[in-house]
Amino acid sequence: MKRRSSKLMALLLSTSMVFSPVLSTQAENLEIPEVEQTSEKQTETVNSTEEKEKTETTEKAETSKEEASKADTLKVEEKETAKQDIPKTENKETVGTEAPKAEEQNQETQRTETEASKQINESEESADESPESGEKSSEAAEPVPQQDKETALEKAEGTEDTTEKNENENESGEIAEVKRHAEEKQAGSAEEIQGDDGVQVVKADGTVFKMFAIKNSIVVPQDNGTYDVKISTDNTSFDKISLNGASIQGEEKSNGGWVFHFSVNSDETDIQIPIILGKPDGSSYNKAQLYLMVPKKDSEPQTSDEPQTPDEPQTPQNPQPQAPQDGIYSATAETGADMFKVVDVQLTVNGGKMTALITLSGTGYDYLYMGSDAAAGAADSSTWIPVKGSKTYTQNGVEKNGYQYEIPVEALDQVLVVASHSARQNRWYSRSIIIHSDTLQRIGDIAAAIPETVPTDLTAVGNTDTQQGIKDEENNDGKGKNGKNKKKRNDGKAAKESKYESDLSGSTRAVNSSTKLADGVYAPDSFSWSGGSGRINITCDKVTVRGGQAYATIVFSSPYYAYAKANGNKYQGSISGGSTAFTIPVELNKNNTVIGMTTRMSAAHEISYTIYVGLEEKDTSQKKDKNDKSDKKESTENQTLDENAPEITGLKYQGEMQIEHAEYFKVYQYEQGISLLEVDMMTDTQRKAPEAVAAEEADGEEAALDNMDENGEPIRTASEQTAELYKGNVVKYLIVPADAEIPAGLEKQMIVIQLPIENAYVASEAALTTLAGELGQAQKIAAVGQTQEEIKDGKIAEAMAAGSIVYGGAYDEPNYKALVKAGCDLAILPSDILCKEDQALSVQEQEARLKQICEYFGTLKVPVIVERSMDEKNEKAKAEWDKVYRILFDSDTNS
Amino acid sequence: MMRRKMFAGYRTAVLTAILAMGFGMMANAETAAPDIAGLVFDSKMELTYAECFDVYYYQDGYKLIDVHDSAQYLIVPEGKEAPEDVAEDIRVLQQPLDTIYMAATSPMALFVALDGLDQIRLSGVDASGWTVQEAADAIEDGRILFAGKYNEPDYELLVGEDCDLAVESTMILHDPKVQEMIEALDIPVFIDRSSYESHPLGRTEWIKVYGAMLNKEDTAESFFAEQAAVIDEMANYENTGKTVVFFYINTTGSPVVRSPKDYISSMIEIAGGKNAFADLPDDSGKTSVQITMEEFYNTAVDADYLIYNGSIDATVNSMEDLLAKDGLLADFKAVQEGNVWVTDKSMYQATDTIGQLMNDIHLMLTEQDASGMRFLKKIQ
Repeated sequence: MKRRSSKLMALLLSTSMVFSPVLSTQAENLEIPEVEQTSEKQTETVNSTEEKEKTETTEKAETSKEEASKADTLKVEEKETAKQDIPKTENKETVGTEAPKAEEQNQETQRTETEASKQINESEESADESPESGEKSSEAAEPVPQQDKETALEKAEGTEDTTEKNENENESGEIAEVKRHAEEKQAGSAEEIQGDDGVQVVKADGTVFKMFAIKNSIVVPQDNGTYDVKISTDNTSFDKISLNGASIQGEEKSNGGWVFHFSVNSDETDIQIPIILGKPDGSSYNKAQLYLMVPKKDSEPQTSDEPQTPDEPQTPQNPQPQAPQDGIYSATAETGADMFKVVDVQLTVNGGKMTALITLSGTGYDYLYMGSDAAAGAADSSTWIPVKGSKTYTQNGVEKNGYQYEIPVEALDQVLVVASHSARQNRWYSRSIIIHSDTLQRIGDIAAAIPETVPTDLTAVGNTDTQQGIKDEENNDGKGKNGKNKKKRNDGKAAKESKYESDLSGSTRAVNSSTKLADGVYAPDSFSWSGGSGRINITCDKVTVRGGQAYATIVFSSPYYAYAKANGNKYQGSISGGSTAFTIPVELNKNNTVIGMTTRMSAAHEISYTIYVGLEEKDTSQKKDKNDKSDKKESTENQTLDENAPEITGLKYQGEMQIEHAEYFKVYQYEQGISLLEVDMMTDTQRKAPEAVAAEEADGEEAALDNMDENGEPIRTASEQTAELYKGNVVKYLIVPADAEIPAGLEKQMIVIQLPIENAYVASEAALTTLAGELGQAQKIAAVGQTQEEIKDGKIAEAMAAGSIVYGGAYDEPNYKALVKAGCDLAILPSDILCKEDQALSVQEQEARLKQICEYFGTLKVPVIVERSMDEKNEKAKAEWDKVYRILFDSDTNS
Repeated sequence: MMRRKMFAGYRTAVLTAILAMGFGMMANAETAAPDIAGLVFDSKMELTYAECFDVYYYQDGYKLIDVHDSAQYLIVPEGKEAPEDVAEDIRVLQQPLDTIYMAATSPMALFVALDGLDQIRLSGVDASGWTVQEAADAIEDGRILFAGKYNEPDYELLVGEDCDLAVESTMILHDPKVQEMIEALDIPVFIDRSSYESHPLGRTEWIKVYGAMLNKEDTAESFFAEQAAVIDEMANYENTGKTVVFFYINTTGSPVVRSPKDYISSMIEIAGGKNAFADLPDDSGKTSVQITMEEFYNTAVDADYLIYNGSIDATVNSMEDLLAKDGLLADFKAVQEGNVWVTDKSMYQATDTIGQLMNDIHLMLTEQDASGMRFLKKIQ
């Protein structure tokens, strides 16, 4: 066995412990000037800090000696020996802590460039789904067998070698951010306090919260029954404490830690006061409820060793913000704990007074109280807030129920101290709620009636993201609700076009965004889109017309879309919560190309989408002209054949094909020679109604779909979407001639069959006879469902002998490999595949077989039509199915 | 002297273990092999560290790969057929296997080491996704085609190229429908589970599985023996008692550490360090465990060394990058002492030479010259 040379190396070298600290000291010394340079580049305040600190060097030296946190002995020695280095070192520390914080903020608000680790779950182009916990990311949370494998594979997918380039691009943005935030920060000049009065921050179980360990504390009882409290910590991350409705900003110490100064009532000592710790970037610690513990003290004021300038306890930094304008708003709220989650907030502002109808995640609490748990226990039960109602919402594909309560809201962005009463345990828990003003979205006026309903739009059904819309989508598959939709409202504020720069790659072209609509803000009639891998959702609820040009605000359900290319430009997105929004010029009522750039992986990754913004370009004062469409527009969803032509966004309806005898299909015709074929797959079969099946599936199987994006939309891959479409009572096919253009996203609503068909797999004998015989389309058949011996038609048999038609497996057991090899682009199956009596398989087995076949063909992107001519009652009805074949195969002679 | 004695003891223990395994194997050889109608059992593959698979040899060139807790694969030699009554759940791999769709990343390096790159025709990762240079080059040259990522394969391409085997990672278990579709196209799916090995060299030993598939067992044996030599050198290493944290921060800001039974945790111990999270309770069976920042802080704040997993998250190249992940890290002893390292992003796909990470960790722990390191880099 070979000996490794590294072993020799190991033996040769041996850097002693003595040398390494020296080396690192030198490294530090070398680093400092560098840091100084960057800091000079970055901020003014840091420099002024430097100057300020120069005057306080001696004190600092002593205090920093005392602090000597971690193994900083070397640094301290440095300070003693080289006083002029002190400001620099501290500078470095300050800058060091500023930068990450600023970057943290940068990350959290922007969440773009620096974010590059992969965690599946989510976002567009993250490996699966979920695989992973996150997202989910991220968007979706998925359990993973192996996180490292997944993430690495995710990384391995499509990463371009532009990491460095990307990072460089980002750096200038980051430096700008750091500049801004550093300017806003206070100087790190707070002095350490001396005192050991035992104030602590603890968790619910009473154990000390290590990430905010209080180093020193001073408690001074005052004459007015309050306690003046000062605490200091060396932990750097949290700079704000919210308690009792007030937010207390800390003062930064020279080592990056914080000093806080505030008051508590004397009856609040020796008890847990709920608090929320805030970070400099505005977010806060929300993983567990935290409490402040202030021990009771004697009335003698403690004399401190060092002279301290007496100052007033800090007044809350945030003056009560003015309530927003009267109206009804949706908002999001933050609580301190996972056991008390607010999933929905409806804020009403009336005459300046605010109340909120909040929905909790569960039904465990029967009362709320605006105050601490002790106060609630002592208060009269008439002051308790009872459950007002309950609301269903969906989380991860599962429908849940949460109680609703109406609570008074003193102020936004401030801690509302609340107590919740557990019905089962009969005890009160202290909680806190903060309703964020920046999440307010106006949804109505005080006196407003319920938003208008618009006639059912076939395409809008799956794409709205209103709460109702979400439920529609979920109930839609197979259940066939009435599908009434509320047109999504927006806040009415004109959106500014996103910042952009020219994109020289040429991957998108300038669009003609001119429109006849008057300048203003509109909600689109419909919005649909296609592209990507189904991991995210795109919505659009606003079109701004300015100067006769239309701008659509499109929102990606992921915070990782740094840029979008469209219209020949590269637009910068605005990120909030879990989404990214772009306002870009669009050509209304036409397909537009948008290329999203996701930074989920370590390098930019481009994904192409097509969007379609439907908005009638008529005078908005006019009512919709109903004359050019057929009478009613209510689609029956997929429950029964439509009696009247469904409205398809962007496609003008032209007429219904006359079907006099056949009962199992209908055809509606639209512009550009497009036909809508509806086939009834349920009537007169043994198949169970989809509701029953869905219920069974829900009981028996694990939900295959546990991906939801932030808006509660189920996230499906294209294959999954297609599989869903086959589950309805009625399956709808949009048959599109070669030169026709259809709005993007229609494939989510119906199976799209793109003509011409050239390699059909015809497993139905009846269809084969017609196609090969009367219609003379044998050359467009690539595979059949019978062997050469079984085939009756001579022409087909010949073709099989010659090899131009292959045996594609029997209709109930297709040979997918042969079909893929033959380039199959359409499968026509006999109605025997639908559940019939007297078959060798049970109804359930037949159903499973049908599902499996549709899934496989769906995955291979081959549409499946079950032709039911043999089920029709008479010869005339049977013959009418020829019309279907004519449309599919012979686009020139549409009858 | 004490030192020598301790490690003599260690060596004896290892030797005894190996011998015990040997005896065990001999004793069980006849009874453990699956009975396959029509095939006569011959011998069982000898393994040193791997525990997640076994290979059984039958007469006439038939082999059975048994991936524990997963599936069994019958390798049928060229020109022969699978026995008629072979159980339905045994997947048949018909040799020669020379048009492989490599949708997993760990086996690639092993194929290169076997000189079996030619047998791979399709890849689930495009050129830029491979840190294994030979694979990237092959895609650039067109010798290997990108056939779509593992959960969105180009079925037409697979069928068109006559793919005869799809090698997937366990990620495919999240998309069972894709696996079903591939199998419906008559392409068998082999799921690689090398990352479930708890010993680092167990991972490399999977080269023997692929060696069996390609009839290159000899090449596999000698390559493996070379890598295993690294262990010999470790035998003399004293445990420094220094604690090491191997982790990364995921996109939601949570720290992810290795499970104590995972191969990287083993490597830290073998190299003379202590995994700071050795007591993490985890029976999820996963190799990585996501924990809360608070849990992480509690244990890792006093650790001597931090190693950031750059093969999953390549964004950390400096101390600044690290602190940007979470400001709390500034409190950490390892950060303040400058003992923060990051792994090279090629580490994950370097299944063939992963044993060298142990050497790197040892150099790190003993503060030796870092220029000889293959995977680790100190960050400033």
